[in-house]
Amino acid sequence: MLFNSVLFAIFFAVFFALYTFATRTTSAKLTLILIGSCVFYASWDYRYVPLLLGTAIFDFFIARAMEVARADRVRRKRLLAVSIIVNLGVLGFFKYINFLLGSAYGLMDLVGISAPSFFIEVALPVGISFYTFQSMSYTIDVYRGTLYGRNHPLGFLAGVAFFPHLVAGPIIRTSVLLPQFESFRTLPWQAYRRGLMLIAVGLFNKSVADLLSQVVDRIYGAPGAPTMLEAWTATLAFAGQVYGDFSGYTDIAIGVALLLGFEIPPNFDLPYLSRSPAEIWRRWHMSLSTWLRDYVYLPLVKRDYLAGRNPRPYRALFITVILAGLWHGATWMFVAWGLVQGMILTANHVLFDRYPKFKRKVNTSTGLGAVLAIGVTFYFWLLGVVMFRAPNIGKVGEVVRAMHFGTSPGSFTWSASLTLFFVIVGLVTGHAVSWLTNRHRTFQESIAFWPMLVFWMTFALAFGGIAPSFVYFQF
Amino acid sequence: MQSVHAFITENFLDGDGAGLTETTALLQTGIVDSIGMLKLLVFLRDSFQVKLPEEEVRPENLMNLRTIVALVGRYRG
Repeated sequence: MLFNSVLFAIFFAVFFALYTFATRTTSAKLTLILIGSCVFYASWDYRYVPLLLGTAIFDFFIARAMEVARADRVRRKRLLAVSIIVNLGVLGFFKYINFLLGSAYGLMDLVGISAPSFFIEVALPVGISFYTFQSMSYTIDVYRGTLYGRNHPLGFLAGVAFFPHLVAGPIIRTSVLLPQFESFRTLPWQAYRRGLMLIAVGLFNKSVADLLSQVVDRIYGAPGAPTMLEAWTATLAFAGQVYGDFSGYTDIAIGVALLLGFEIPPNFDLPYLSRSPAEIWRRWHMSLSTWLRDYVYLPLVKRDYLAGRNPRPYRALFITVILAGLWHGATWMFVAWGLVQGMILTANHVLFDRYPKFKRKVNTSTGLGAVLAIGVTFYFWLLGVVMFRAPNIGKVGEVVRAMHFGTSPGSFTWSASLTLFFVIVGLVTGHAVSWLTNRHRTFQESIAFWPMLVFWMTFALAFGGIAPSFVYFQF
Repeated sequence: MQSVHAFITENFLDGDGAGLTETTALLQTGIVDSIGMLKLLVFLRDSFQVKLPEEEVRPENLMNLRTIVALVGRYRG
């Protein structure tokens, strides 16, 4: 049930009507959210509904046991270990088992041992990386004492399964969502208007992404090396596609949640206007970046810090970013992507640390300096984008080579140039509408609001639905 | 408060702390990033003999000058 499908529109209309008019008490509303979310998830694959509920119920009881053992630090630590092992075990089995088997067989082949070709046939449950992280952070927060383990499971279960963010995030902290689920409040009417706007913008950005995907698929799917123009066109198009697709999904999720009276924090903050790789990581998929910072990076450096030693942040940074790569997909390509990102980020931090004046200049310059900083940052981002899209390492080499040393001047045709022009328009449009809806203070009150809303919806109806799914569903 | 202010100004703002108030969002605005967080924690530990329990080493305590000062107040040696 895609957000940009008729089926979802019908589902949401029925759900909204029941939620608004047929439920009065908190428990009735939570029960409806839970049932609706299970129906939503079952539309992808009903077999995995027990998995979704099972992991959440398991974490609920672990957190409960931690609460009971609040004074017993050792027992709480053991319970946390059980929660992490089970959650990562489930995630590992469904997402990484065949990657691990394949890697082991490859290694056996390499040392001359005849390897079997046994793989486990298992479909990846949609959104598993999102809801596992969501659920696991609850037990970690209860362990840390920043949350208390709840007595009743309904709010927590409804929060984990809450359909707007279930299959592709944002990964919302339990500390943000749970209080809203336990004490329903009526948002001001402007919030509902904003919700509608975000849905329209999300659908619009998704449609732009779908259009861009046609250029990407044609060039990345073609045999042989692309020309320089094609390589840049396709890579810029994919940068625009992945932004429009994912930020579009997020905007719809936040908008739908707002219509139901819940506030979800933003997940993107105009990332392509960042002035350094470190900044782009702060502004892209913010819910994952902060999750990894709080639950992977900090625990990695904490041990040294608590022992009175000087922590080794760059090692932790590298490990975190490689895990971020693996989170996106169980292939060596994503590990390599993580390694490259780790190197870029480390270089960025070392440079800024050694030359604080340069850091300040990068962050505060205007005019040409700002354009240069944004351009260089975006260039490094594009190198990662190639690795994200190319089907194999050979194609990565072909595209990156073509971007820098590709020749074929004869291929510089009008139609290819026009394609590049429209790709740039699509790329800029994605950020322009995000700026308008998130940064422009008076847009919602302006005379242009409703006409723009109609335009975005019409555009989405006319050009949406080309791509079969959302890019981030695979993660 | 002043020495923390001075440390952040010196290390993360290249000496210009004019706009830094006790509620300036340090992490959200990127003034203090993930590497900077550690630098800050080490500074608190070494300068104020702050001994943090494991569960207090978390970003919420480093959100702004006010939360940092409160943290130091709670765990100063």
